[in-house]
Amino acid sequence: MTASLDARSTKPLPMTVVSGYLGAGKTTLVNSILSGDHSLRIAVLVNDFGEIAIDETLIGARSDDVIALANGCMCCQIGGDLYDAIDRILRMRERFDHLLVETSGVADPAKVAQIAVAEPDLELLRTVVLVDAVNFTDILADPRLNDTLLRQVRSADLILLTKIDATTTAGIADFQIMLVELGLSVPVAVLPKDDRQAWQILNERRTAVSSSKKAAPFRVHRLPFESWSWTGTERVDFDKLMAFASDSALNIYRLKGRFRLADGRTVLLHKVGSEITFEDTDETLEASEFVAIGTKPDFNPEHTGRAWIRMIQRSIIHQP
Amino acid sequence: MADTVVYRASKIITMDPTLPEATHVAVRDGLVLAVGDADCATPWGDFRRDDRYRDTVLMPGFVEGHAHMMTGAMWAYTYAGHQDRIDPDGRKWEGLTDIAGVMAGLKRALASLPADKPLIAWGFDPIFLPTERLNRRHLDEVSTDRPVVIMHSNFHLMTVNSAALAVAGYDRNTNAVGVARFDDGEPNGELQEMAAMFPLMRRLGVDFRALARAESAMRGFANSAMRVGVTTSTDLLNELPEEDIAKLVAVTARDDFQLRIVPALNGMTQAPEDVARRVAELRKRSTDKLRLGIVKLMADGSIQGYTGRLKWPGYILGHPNGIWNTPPDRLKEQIVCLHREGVQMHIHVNGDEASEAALDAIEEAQARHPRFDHRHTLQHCQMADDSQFRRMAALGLCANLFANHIWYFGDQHYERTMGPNRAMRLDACGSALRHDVPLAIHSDSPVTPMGPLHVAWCAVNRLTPSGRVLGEDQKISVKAALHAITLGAAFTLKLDREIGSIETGKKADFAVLEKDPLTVPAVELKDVPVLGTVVGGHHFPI
Repeated sequence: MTASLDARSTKPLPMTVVSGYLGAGKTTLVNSILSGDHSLRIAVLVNDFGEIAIDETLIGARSDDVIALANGCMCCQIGGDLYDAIDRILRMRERFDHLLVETSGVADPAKVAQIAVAEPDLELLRTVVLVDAVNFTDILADPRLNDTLLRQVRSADLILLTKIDATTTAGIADFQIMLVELGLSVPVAVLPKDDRQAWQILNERRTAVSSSKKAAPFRVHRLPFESWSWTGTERVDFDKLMAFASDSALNIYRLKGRFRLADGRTVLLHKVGSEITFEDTDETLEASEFVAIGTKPDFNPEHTGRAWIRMIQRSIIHQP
Repeated sequence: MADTVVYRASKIITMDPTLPEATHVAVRDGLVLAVGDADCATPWGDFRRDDRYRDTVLMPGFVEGHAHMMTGAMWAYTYAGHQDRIDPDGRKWEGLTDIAGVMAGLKRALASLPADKPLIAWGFDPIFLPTERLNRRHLDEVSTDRPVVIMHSNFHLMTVNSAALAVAGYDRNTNAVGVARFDDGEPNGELQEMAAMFPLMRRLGVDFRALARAESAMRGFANSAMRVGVTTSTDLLNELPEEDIAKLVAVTARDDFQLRIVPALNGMTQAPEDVARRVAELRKRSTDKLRLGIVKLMADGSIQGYTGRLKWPGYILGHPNGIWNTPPDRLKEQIVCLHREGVQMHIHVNGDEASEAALDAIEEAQARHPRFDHRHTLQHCQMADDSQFRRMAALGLCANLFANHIWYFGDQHYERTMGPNRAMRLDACGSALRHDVPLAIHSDSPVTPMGPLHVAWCAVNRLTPSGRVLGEDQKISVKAALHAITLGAAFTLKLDREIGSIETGKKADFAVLEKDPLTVPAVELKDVPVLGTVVGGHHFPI
């Protein structure tokens, strides 16, 4: 390091943070970006080369911790210190169009993103968090790990679901239920199989995304789902609740909630597809709450909301 | 025939149960030939007598089981901490005990720097200056045109002057979270966390890690060790690239280099199979004073930084749980593989959830690939309860506890991190010994100053600065504490065959003390003056 660096000496290098828990598919994404057809010279920082699999014919040169590709991309192993690695890339600033940092599986991506916010020679584009749509419920159920996953999800400006087909609705719906329960309004997409599309997402500016999602408290990005959620202290009539949940005109695909009933009971209610299950619980609730999700345009949050309010108004038992 | 020298001391504490105390030690070829009285060397032929240690107490050279080479690198910069500290050359740096003192100290330091150099200081801790928080206006009084940077002792914060803010391009329009502000929106000079400090550090060329790899750092490290009686120390996390190994081999080989170094390879940056392969290569490079072959893993962060992983009920005052450096499943993969490959692991675990994850992993490793005498060591292991110590014993693990924390952070743990109940078992040396877990205790220098007698004093007295005793029943005896800083630590490094006691066949490594630590009042253990060391028969008086 030298003292000759001046602040803002060059045009800042755009940086994207790619995060996600172990096994979420970060390396697969990095592999496809490195060898992808995007005509950009991308520097990629990875934790280790262990799983990097690049077609040997694309490799220009390699050493212990750097693989230089013929297409101008370069993959560097972070080794002990991410800051060192970023400093090394910035010393070769003119050789790259973009910096992609793959965080470790347990890193807090917000902290990594802050490096690009603070460093005048970097510009933060966005923080993308990959989530394994199959395994995330297991991770959430592990008290040693769930806060790590939630921290990652909370720092994302875009969540990319992996290991899932965009047409498989169950996993996506469950994930969205979780986001709603967490009170998060992060856009979610399924990781595109096409390299170029994937790259487009990573190369997008977060500002462009956030301005497009200002309207609704929860809005899905590039996904077919809409949701509507509700919390209220009113007691609910059980039969009317069941009628609401099974009303096919509302096109509710997934519903999950806890309700204070008019007869004094408390129930948990789930709907998946056309199947509705409920169970009594000893929980004392301050309020009833639920979230409903469905495919647009068949499912309309506004209609659902209106139907619910009408039902509530008819079934309210006024407390003394 | 080789020269034999018999040294006379007022007392020799050998740590050898066959002959716990003696007055003379005979040295030949850098090894202990005999121990006993004035005639101990008689059966071995000619010898000469040397009375230089006549009025001193000799102990086995102390073994620091957890420290970092960085200890020797810090002194390239100006010390600005609250407590007095001794640098590797023996110069005492007075503690700077108020803001005026800090400013005066910085002005003095600036005056002696070349005009083109920024002033970099370290060791500052605002916790000791309860008045106004240090900010850039104070530091602007030190200099308006040269960057002034004070790194806080935790390395997570720095306070800088306006000239330094300008170097990083920070102003009221900066968005970064870690750039703290005055009420009027202008940066106040405090930069929080590495992301905010990084732009300034790279522009001013502040690089502690690079410094720690320089030969000057190795020399400073050895000097600092010698001043506190340490003759063998770990450097407990090192990437160990080839060029550094060559340098370490060359520097430690010199007769005037006064320390055996045991670097631990970072086991987290490669796949465990590759780590095992690398370790096998490294072992062959070991020399008399450089021992390669141990591996470091890290499960969590630190408790005082709220990054340690705690079991329920977690941190007091509503602080969220810490972070995994290596999550449990990955840790288990690494541990099972390295264990199978016969590698000795030193595993950083601060919080009790982290120590539990390590125990689970070792348990699986032992079930799948049973090994005797592996001596894997849980490092820090500050919150382990008795159930965990019982498991350590059952699984053959050693514990190297961070006893210095009791003094340096004990009150913080009681009041701000884990609360009274768990603070009482902080670094539970008593429990370790009750369950027959092989015990070492350490400083983690430069996190706290290296000083085995201070660490031992902590384990014996368990005092905090506010006068609390953290867990009467976790105190250990002076004798047990002296064992933990000699043979105990040597055992965790599998070096107890060569060092850790004064007995025939072992290295002639001694700590030279002015008083007898076994007879001074236990509360004065830390004040026993160290006069120097002997390493492989070479003398290093302070």
